[in-house]
Amino acid sequence: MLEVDNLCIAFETKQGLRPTVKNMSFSVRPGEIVGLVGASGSGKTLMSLGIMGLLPANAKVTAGSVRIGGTDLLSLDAESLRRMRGSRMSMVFQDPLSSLDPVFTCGDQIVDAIRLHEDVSRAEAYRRGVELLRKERIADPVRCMKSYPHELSGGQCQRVMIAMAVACRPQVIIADEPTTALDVTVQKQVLDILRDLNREVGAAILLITHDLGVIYEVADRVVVMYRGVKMEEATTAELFAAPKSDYTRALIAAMPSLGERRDRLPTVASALDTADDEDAGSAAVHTEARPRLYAVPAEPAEPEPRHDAARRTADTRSPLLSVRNLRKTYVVRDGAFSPSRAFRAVDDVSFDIPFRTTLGLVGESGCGKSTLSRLIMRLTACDSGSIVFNGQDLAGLSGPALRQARRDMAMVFQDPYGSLNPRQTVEELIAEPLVVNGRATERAHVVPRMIDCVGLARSALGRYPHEFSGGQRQRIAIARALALHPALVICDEAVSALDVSVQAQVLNLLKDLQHEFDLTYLFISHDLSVVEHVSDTIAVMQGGRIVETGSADAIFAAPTHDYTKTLLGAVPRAVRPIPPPPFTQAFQS
Amino acid sequence: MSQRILLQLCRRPVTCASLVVVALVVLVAIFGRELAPCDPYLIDQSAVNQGSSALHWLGTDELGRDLLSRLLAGIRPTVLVSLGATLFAAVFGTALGLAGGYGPAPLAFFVMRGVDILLCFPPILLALLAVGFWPSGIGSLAIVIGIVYVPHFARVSQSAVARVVQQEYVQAELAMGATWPRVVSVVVLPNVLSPLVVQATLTVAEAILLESGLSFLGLGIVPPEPSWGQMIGTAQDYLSQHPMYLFWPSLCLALTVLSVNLIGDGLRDLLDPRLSKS
Amino acid sequence: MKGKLTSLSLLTARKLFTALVQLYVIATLVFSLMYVMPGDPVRLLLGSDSNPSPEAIAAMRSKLGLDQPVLTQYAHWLRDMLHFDFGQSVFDGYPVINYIRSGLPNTLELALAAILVAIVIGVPLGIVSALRRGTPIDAVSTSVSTVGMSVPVYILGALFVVLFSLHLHWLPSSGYMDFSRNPVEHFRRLVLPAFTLGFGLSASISRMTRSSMLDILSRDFVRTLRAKGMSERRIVWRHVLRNAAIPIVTIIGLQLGNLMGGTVLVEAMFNWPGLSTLLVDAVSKRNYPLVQGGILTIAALYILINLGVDLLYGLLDPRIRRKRT
Repeated sequence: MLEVDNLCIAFETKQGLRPTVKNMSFSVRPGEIVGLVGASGSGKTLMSLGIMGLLPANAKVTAGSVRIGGTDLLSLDAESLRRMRGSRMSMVFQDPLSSLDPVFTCGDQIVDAIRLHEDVSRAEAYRRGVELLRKERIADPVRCMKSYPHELSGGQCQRVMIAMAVACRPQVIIADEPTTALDVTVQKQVLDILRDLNREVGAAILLITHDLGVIYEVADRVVVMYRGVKMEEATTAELFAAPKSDYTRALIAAMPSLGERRDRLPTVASALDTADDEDAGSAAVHTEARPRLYAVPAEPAEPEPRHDAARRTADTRSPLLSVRNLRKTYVVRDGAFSPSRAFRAVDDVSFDIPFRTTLGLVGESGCGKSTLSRLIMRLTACDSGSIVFNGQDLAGLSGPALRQARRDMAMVFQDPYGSLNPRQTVEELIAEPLVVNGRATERAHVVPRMIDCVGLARSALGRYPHEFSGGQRQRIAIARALALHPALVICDEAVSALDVSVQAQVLNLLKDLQHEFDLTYLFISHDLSVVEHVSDTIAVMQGGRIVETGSADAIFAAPTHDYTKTLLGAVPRAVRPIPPPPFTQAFQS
Repeated sequence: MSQRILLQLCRRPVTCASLVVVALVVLVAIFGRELAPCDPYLIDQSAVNQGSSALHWLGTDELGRDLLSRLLAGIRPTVLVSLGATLFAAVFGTALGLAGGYGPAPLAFFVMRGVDILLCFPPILLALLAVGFWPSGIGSLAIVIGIVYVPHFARVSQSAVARVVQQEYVQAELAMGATWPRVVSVVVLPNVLSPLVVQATLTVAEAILLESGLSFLGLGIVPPEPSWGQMIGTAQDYLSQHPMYLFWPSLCLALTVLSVNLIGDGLRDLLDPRLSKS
Repeated sequence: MKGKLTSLSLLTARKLFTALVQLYVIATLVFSLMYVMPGDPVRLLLGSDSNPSPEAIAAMRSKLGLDQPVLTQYAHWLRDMLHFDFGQSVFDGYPVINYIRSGLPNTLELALAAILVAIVIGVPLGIVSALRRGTPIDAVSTSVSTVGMSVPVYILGALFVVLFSLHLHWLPSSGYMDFSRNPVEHFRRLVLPAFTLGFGLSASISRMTRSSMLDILSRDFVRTLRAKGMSERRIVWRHVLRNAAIPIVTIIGLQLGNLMGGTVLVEAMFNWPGLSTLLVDAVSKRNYPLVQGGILTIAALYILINLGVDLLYGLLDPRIRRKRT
């Protein structure tokens, strides 16, 4: 149904044409779901826009063809192409809330989608919309139709988007990272809905994502893309069983997945992780870009027992952090004159973190884990409860005593693009904790040491954050967190905003630093597989309460609470029957 | 970083020309009186309302004073008043905006309500009131016009501060144990500089317009002190006899304000996309 | 629909309350004007008389109401405000309210005409600029609006007078004609002042329209609309304009509010007998009751216009009406 043949898309820059998609060829049959997987920057979104004819002004198709049901899209004039959009081909975008018009109700937008291409009455279109939403298992479809996008959750908005996309029974549906912005449990629901709806509609679906787990869940076939070039194409089963290209193997291996914990994750060094683009300005089209692999130690046959677990359990100190009965309630108001109600963000939370271990705190958005981290750092005051850190109860401290106690704690935030002051150089950023705490004289030797520890070059010290990529910025944030040699580091979704391959690098770094600096981590995340990989103990949080705690092994092998079971069930599992390639030295192209 | 911005401004022809004009104006403001060929105050009843001549390049006004000299001499008070007013408005407006965007909730509330109330009065009205009651002079005029524009600055500053305060890097700074003066000076202020700089250039332009408007009405800078606005006001009466009397100060004033506005536009184009990119 | 009305009326009530509070604060500020201003008002009003007799002083004090304790004066002031009684003009004893009644409609008319001119010129210019971004049309209209913003109102007015009055003899150069006496002549005299004022305003309106439209055009949902197969025309007229309208309406309201007292220069130039002229005159003559009445009227109008804009805002943007649950 959808045939892409040798498609080439390039950007028009001042230095000439910069090819971004190079000779992509694949096809999608009706009723089939093909996953297009690649890291951010690989050109997959651009290609999807190129297929739909929605390229930005400075990009254009330089060669190749795109056919839908035999019709060559690139030869059509703008008006005919426009008529095909929405009726024969449609698209679902990543961020549902910003992809819907905020001043029109969802119902209006769905009705629009239908009446643009089919000659039906408003009432009929409305009825069809309600029916579609009902099929997507929305609890109250009529209310949903009457609501504005900002009144719905992310998952509901995405269902509205999908309804708009399938309303006219298109032949091709392109879904660009449809679940990336959603919670894990919602992700699974949305993917299931997409697959079920398609059984009726029978469209050819191109599912674009960077998450191999999603591919494993729903895709029939997979196309792997790296830097604009097709690396591999196979059925899902084949791909995971016997990946042919090294990049695919590295991608699969880099995915921290449930049931397999190793000491270090093998990583893919992509040029994406450096500030300079090696391809810039090069006129030759690389038909094959071979990524570099870092050295991976030879793997033993069975999964290793927890590294240094024996050494750690021998440490008899009392827990570094001991939280008891922590509570925080917010007073919220739904509207200006509606009655206020109490919202329990953190509800009677207690846990311990032993010295030199990692506690993984897992839960979905809105469960209160971020509030909890803010409470522990004393960025917000708790209502009641105790936070015993290093023998002192932080909850009662204030002023200089609090500042003194705080020096032994540090936090790494989620957003690498928002947690670094854009107006300070890297050197100033890392030295800031020293300056704030009156130890500015130490910056001359502490800062270079920190930048070395996180694996960045000394030349980075004089540059500004916007010159670095996401993974590099997170390293800077880690260096900053460690400047005062804290005992406890709270990682609040520290790797959630990063690509899978970059995630692996940062997680490895965190592990190394834990050994080197005797750190204790509170690792907060919504991603179970990441949490499993780094944690010794795990606490599951829902609705402000801790519903289950235990060692990582115990929780994943035999969860007791229902919510934990739901979470585990929702995670896309990718089982890897072969170990990663046992290279003992790095090879380069 | 400011040098980089200056260089980029110079690269675009329109803003480059505007920078040149503004630089000229500032130079004349400093050296104007020395550059003037004749004494701007010298009344010569015999040479009333004349056109261009060898002695008076641009002609004379209704009291026989040399137009060119009065034009040159008239820049300084305008520049001083507008720069002084902008500085005043920037300092106090930013401080109010900081309180409104980052301060404790009750303080923020009262500050912003106060700003709202001040905004109820159109600038020219406030200025008129103040000028009508207070003695005129460059200093008090600068302060009066400055007070008029404080609420505009406060509004811009408050929304910029509120946006910055939501960012995680402010939280990160607090997590390190920084006190609020440090947060304000190291994190908040450097990040709100861009919209404030743009607002400052716009305020300079508006202050020039306001000051000349007051002078036009006969308030503000009063004769015998020369002032462009005042010259334009007087020139309207002699339109039929001596049209160039109106033309020259109008041209100078319009050109100056235009240049300042163009610089402000250029700055906004340069500073904003960088903000959204990073 | 019912939900829409309830939340709107709640919004209105809250805004109304805020507006009333603001009005009260301003009334108090205006009241204290006489005490804050430098110089003894009594002596200033008695003016040139270097040695006023005690009777004259006492008479003036009683006229200004200064012989009573401050709080009593305040109470009387507030009571009078509620009855729209602003006192009498110091010089001729006529009620201030009459002066305001004669000047206010003229200023309002001028302001409305000017804002109409500004919208008619500015909004289409801004839309065209945004849709044809980067083309010569955009460059030309942006430059025109920048120039319009920079040229002082009185220069522009002089230019118009020179062109349309002195050279082309199409329109009279100044003056005011009562509507009831000669409607045509009335409007002929309105044209130049309205255009002078409106032209400068159209500049900022067109710039705001342009930047607001460009901002909306770059949003994600526009991409979704294109993916749905909507024509560019429909996208712009039905969706982009609706979203872009919000900041545009805000700035139009702001301009209109500022015009309430901001017509001073144009009224002076064209001899248009409006409220601003009255006020300038009163200020220079220290006619306090008239000054107070005038300022209060202008501030009240500004608050009223702001209220209207806020409500319009609530109608246009559902996010204001119903906060996220």
